[in-house]
Amino acid sequence: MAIQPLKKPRIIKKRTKRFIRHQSDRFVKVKANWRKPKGIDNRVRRRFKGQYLMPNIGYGSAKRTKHMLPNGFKKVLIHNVRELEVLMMQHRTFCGEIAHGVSSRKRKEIVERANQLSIRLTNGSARLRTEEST
Amino acid sequence: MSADLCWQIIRNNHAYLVKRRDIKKPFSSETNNLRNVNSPRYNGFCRNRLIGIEPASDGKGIVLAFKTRRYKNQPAKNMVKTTIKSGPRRALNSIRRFIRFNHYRGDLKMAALRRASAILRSQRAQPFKKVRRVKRHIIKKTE
Amino acid sequence: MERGHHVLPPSCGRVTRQARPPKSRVSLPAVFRAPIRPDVVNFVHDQMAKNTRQPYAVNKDAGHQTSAESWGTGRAVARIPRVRGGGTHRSGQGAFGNMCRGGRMFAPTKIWRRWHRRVGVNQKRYAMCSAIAASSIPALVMSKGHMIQEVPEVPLVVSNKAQELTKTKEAVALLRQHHAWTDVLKVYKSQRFRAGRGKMRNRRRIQRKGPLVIYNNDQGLTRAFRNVPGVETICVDKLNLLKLAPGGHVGRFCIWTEDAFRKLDALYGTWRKEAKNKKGYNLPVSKMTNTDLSRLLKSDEIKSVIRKPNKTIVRSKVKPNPLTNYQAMLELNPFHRVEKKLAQAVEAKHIEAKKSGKPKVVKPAKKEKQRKKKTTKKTVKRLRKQHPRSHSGKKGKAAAKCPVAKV
Repeated sequence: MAIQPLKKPRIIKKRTKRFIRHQSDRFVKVKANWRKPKGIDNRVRRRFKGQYLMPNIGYGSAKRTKHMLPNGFKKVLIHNVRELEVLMMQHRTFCGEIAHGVSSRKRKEIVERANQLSIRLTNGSARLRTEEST
Repeated sequence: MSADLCWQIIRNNHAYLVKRRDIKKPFSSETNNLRNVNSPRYNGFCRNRLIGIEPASDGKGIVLAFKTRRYKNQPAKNMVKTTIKSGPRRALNSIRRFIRFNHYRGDLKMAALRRASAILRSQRAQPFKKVRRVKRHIIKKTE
Repeated sequence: MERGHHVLPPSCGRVTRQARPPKSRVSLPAVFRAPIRPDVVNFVHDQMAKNTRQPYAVNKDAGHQTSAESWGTGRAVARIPRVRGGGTHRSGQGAFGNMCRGGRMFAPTKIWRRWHRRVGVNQKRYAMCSAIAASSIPALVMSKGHMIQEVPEVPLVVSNKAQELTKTKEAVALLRQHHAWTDVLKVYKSQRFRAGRGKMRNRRRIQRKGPLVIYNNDQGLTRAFRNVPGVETICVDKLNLLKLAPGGHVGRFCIWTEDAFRKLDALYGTWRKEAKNKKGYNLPVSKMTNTDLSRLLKSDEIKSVIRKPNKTIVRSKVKPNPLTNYQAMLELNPFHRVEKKLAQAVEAKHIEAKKSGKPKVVKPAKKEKQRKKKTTKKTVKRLRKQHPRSHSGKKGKAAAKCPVAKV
């Protein structure tokens, strides 16, 4: 079985929906990506009843579970074996993710070493399969 | 120069600092840093007394390194390295005994043992597991 | 440190094979004990690094070579200046503004920007002393990334024969002999192409810095070393902070020739003596005599002033509600055990009565209550006999206390 995190608290997301930009439903040119309304009369800005909710710091995750993946690990980007070694002593809190530009040959080395050090990788099987199927 | 002042100079900028996104406490990749964390306790350069545990160069056993009190200005002589090739039980015990009987950085005892056992574990019977993994992949593919 | 410093003989090809001259000793110059102030070094480096800049600017006329004029209000267009006339696409287009196509940039750069900085001499010297002092501390040099693990001594001093080297081969042999070559190997490993646009601006390749060789008299040394990647050479008389603390961070790996090393006292002075080569200059004095924090905290003077460490750990306790938590109630009221039993007995009776189908009448209920009061006392006694524990706690304590009191 893959290595499990030391502590796996229940991760509570206070809100899982996205915050939608005001009037993005009306115009195609206004994207849904959140922009804070600045207008003097803006009803969203003035927090009228029934309007879109605005993001604020209160929606932030608890310190313990911030940046935590659903599997209870925190993610660290890894480019080579040397960077992987750093995680050796924290392999129960951090897991690695191999950077996108790493070739499949080097990926193999990283995955191998990660297995030895029992470090979990989020994308350990990536690019290893495609090579064999061809 | 004192270890405290040295740490103050280094702490925010050194060659081995590893800062990553979303990680509050930066990592540090220098040798002799038992937990690979950028902190005064685990730093592998500053302290007058240091313990380092690294895998032996041939991939079997560990190297226990520590700083002597003498030869402060002579890096070649300052660190003493001993290779421990005996089995894990003996290796861990010798680290434990070294720390206890020399009163040498007792605060690092658990970290040292943990690192040593992590290294020893990584050296143990891995290829077997690896072969199986690869095979499983191949089977999947052909299907 | 006071014991003196080895001067290591240089090896140059043939010389190594001959009998090595005995190691001589030099005392450590006082600069190496100067206070190390990374903040001063960083600031001075930052200012000094600006002094090699060349002015640049956009053309002063760029974007202003039309006779554009605003149309004013009332035309339902923005009030930006617009190009005059007709007959071409350009006419009527906005001009001048930084938001306009063909307009000038915002706040156009000028050649009279303040490119260079003047740094106070004393400040520069302070930074220099700091950088030199830091270069003698293995921990700082190593944490800057220099590979000096096998180097026999820091600061590394070699004999004056190193100044006479003329061939790169000999220079490499010297570095190899003193195990400084590992640092050069790291330079080789680090050679790469620059990331970003700098590649096309004549800054294509980059590499890290290796050791800095500091000499007194160049008798061929600079030429011998100049093709070794990463290695830089510099004269003691012209020490440069940009080389001793590249990037504004202290701790460069320095290799001194003996004469250069000996000259340092004359250049920077000792605290007892002024610097010979600088007018009225002496080394900076450190603010603290002892920087060892744990030592300070253990000293009697400081111990007597500060309070004792607060070692008691106050853990937060859960306060259970006695109304809902039986055990908590018992702690407050040991008699609660009996009370509860009684209440249960009464309740059981009521339930029984209900089951047996006896009609509930108000009057007999009153009688029952009276009777109950009588029975309660009896039951209390009975229950106390049955459950001596509910009282034994108190009794036991009293009993335990008695003999102590007697003794």
